[in-house]
Amino acid sequence: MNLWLIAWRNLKRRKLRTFLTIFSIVIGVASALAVMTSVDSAKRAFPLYLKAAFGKADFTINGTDAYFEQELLQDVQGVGGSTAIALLKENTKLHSEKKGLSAIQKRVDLTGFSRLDTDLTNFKVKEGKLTDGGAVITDRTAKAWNAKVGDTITFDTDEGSRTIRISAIVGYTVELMGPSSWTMAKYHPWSVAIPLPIMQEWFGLSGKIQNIQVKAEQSGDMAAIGRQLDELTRSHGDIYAQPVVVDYKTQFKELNTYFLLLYLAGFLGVALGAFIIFNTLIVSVQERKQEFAALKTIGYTPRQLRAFVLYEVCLLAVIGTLIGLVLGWGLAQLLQMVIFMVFGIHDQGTLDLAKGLLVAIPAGTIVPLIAALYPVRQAGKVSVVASLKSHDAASNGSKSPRKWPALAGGVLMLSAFFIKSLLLFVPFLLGAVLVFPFLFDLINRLIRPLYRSGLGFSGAMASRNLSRSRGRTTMTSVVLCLGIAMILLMSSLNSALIQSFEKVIHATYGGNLDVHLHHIEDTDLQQLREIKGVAGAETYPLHTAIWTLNGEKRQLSVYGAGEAWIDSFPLFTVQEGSPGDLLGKLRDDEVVLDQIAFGAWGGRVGDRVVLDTPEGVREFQVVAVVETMKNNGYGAFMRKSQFQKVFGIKYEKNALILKDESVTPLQLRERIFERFGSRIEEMFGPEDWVSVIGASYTGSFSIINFLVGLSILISGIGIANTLLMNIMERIRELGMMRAVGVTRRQVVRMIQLEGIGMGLTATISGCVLGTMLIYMTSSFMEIRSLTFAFGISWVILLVIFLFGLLVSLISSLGPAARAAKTPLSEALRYE
Amino acid sequence: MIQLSKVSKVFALEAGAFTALKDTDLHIGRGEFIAIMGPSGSGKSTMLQLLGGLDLPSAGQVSVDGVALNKLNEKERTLFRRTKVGFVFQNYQLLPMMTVAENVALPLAANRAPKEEIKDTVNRLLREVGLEDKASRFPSQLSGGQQQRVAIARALAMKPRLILADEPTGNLDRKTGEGVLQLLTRLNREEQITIVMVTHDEDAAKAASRIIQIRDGEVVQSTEGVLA
Repeated sequence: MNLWLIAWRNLKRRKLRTFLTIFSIVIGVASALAVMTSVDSAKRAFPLYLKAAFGKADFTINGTDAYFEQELLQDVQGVGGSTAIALLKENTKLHSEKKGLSAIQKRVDLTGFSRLDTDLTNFKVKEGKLTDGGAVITDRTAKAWNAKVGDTITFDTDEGSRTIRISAIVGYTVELMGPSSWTMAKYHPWSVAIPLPIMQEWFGLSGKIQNIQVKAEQSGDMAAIGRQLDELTRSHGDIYAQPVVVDYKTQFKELNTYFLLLYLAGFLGVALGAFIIFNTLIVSVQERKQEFAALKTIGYTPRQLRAFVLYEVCLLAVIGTLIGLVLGWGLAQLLQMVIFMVFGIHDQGTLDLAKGLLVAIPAGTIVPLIAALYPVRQAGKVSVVASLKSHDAASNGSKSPRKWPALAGGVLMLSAFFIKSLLLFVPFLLGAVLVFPFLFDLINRLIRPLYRSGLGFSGAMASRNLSRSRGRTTMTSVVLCLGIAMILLMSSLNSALIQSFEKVIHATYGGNLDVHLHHIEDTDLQQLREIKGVAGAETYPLHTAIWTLNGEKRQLSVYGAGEAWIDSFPLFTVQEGSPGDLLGKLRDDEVVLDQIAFGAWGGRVGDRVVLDTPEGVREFQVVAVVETMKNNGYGAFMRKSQFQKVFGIKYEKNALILKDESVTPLQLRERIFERFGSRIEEMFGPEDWVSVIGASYTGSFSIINFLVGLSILISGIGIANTLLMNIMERIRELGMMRAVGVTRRQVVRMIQLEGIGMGLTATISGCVLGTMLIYMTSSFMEIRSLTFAFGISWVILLVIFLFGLLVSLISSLGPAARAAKTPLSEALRYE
Repeated sequence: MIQLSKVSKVFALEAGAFTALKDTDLHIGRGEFIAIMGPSGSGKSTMLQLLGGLDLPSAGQVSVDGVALNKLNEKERTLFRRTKVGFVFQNYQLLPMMTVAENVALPLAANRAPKEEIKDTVNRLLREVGLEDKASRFPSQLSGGQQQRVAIARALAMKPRLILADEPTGNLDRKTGEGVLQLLTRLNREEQITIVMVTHDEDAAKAASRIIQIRDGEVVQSTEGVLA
């Protein structure tokens, strides 16, 4: 006898149920594969990308003034075993006849390279030649400008119009990062590379450069090259060399927490799929008790009966896994694309399927088999006498849920309150599953009066039916409940974090606008203060110092702030006193760290931190820890005068602006742009920062919510599945009801109300559990050193509540229609 | 009261078409107690379902009280069943999660009858079938005979003029079955309710005033019962 064939026929007997069960396995496998693969690929690709994008050079040489002499390049090129190029950057405007473009959309960052064809730029040529002496643009820019090799481009510089021919179009690269369209050009300037001599000539900077990039030909030579460069820069006095540090940890500080949440969402998909399989099989065995009993009477052993069911599970698992892997592959690509986009990685990356397959295949095969263990055992244990005698599968449902599991669940949930990490999810969710039958009963009792008195005959019947087949109904509802709890947590976390960020960003931005100029000249500050609508302006220096944490070189932004103005332009907040007092008291060898840098450093207040300065390695005593979101919250502060002594950098690039009531933030920007034009590299306000952070977090959470949403979809399938099973089990009952005059509409409404009842209880419990999770996570969770206050947005709660109800309503439509369509004569004949 | 004119019912099966009833003509008068007999698959249950509007004939017409059932739409047929017909099934078809009283009240509740009316009717019917003390029990707490009496009480809830009973004694022992038949006979005699009963049991059929024999979808004999 071919057991596979029999299993297949059995599955075909209940086509819709089989489809829904396979679908739940598919979703579980797909989300497991997608999460594992995309996270794994991202973990592997991000550092490589950073290294490729920002780590092409090994050393960078800068001046203490805005420019320094080009002659130095020859000296640097004399350092054995290295390649070096010189760079000069200026801002300008594109000359374009295109109508409707604002001046902001025409901004261009021009970079002059002493050579364009070295490993230090590593331009990937798509068209043309790098050595033809013309301009180099990326394919994105070429597309937006509708330009090709040989076309000319003109810039409006302060010295007049300058035209150059395009000699090469290259692939998108960090050196030439720019917008992809004219619309996006409102937010980011275009980038063009040209030969250095042309650049110097255009801007009247003959013999001047701004930066030298050095690359060691062999990594083993790095230390020696570093030493030679130090000697060289020291002998010149007005320049300094720094190693290029690709600070993966600083750039992606929150990535691990985020990946953990993603894993959790993927795990939820697999777990919920397992629930559905368990559920389906329990009913299937229940339904076929008489068949099994009959088989037993003719000599089948319990083991043989178990094999019948096991073959079905295997078939379901194999089909579901195969489809799930295909779907998961597509989903993984999509997820990877979104993750890369959210974290600003401009790289396609390749999908690393190995680890994903290693998890997804067992998720689709072993997990269903484990979920099937109990139902399979039940098939073997069917009692012949009891089964052949009894025709009524349904009970009157008067039994209450068992107390011991619920008590154990309560203890597990309680224990979660004492765990101050995301691991609390394990006991909490497990406990919730055990307690849920009680919650279900309780909420069901609460909504019963509404059902019985407000929703007529169908409501009264639905209310009774909800208490029947409690095991199956609660098991289905708990899936939706957990999904709702998770999505509520994630959405609230998202909104609470953004609110916390917003508060700190506004409190520590140092005014209403940070204007980043190429370099600030003597009269600039006065000019800024004279602009109408500007209530105050101050400039500050910023230097990216290198420090070593746990043996790894990392970057640290050091700010120089005036003790006289910091209270009006707060760049950080302090627990006691004012920022001005704190800075005023700083000695030359003292520094203030922000919370994140302090946490990464791992020392204590009073300890000494070592920074690599242009003057060599120096120690500073950390005297206070402050809170800031400036530069994404990772930096150190000192007095401006102290900064200049320590770093010897004589020029500044940033100006902080306070606006008065007469202007809007946009008007302020327009007026500053009118005055400084293309000299402005960037203007960024706290609201921009909030929207950047908000978009990044909302993007990240959207991915998680999408996965949790998939789980909720599975729970919708579960509801549909359960209702279908209920209908099949009660088909004679439904037939009888129709026979005694219950209309088709009343039956449809009854089934729909059963579905909504399941959804309602699950949604209410999910909201309660979700609120508890928000409370627990708010007590310990820190993202970028920010905690978030416990709170729930009523809008989020309402949206999620309605979503839960909608899922249950939609899930009940199919079963209700099916119940209504069942021919009466068949329903009454059904045995 | 009931008129079957040239009624045929054909079922499409995988193995081909199966004719359950062939060109059947039959008249059942008001207040008759009819027993329909025949071997398995002869078409007797099909005939009962057609009489109750549970199914429609493939050809011909079924009229009850002058109303052609095939002219009614789905909802009208449901309302016809609710108000004009009472059903009694072999396996009682009581809802296990409802008490005896609630089961009896089911058609009244579907008809949105006032609570007081439901209460009075249920009490009266339970008294009538001798189960007034079992109102709050669940079906699983009753014997088979008692469950069938609950089903009969439910069939009477909307005061139908026609009761269609499909093997009402099929699941009962002889003595209990006799009790159920006596109840049906009393309803037929005292309240002039027309009863059409499908049965295999010749003794049960003796309770009827007329016995109709069906074979292979055709009425082959119609005889007066012993009680006629």
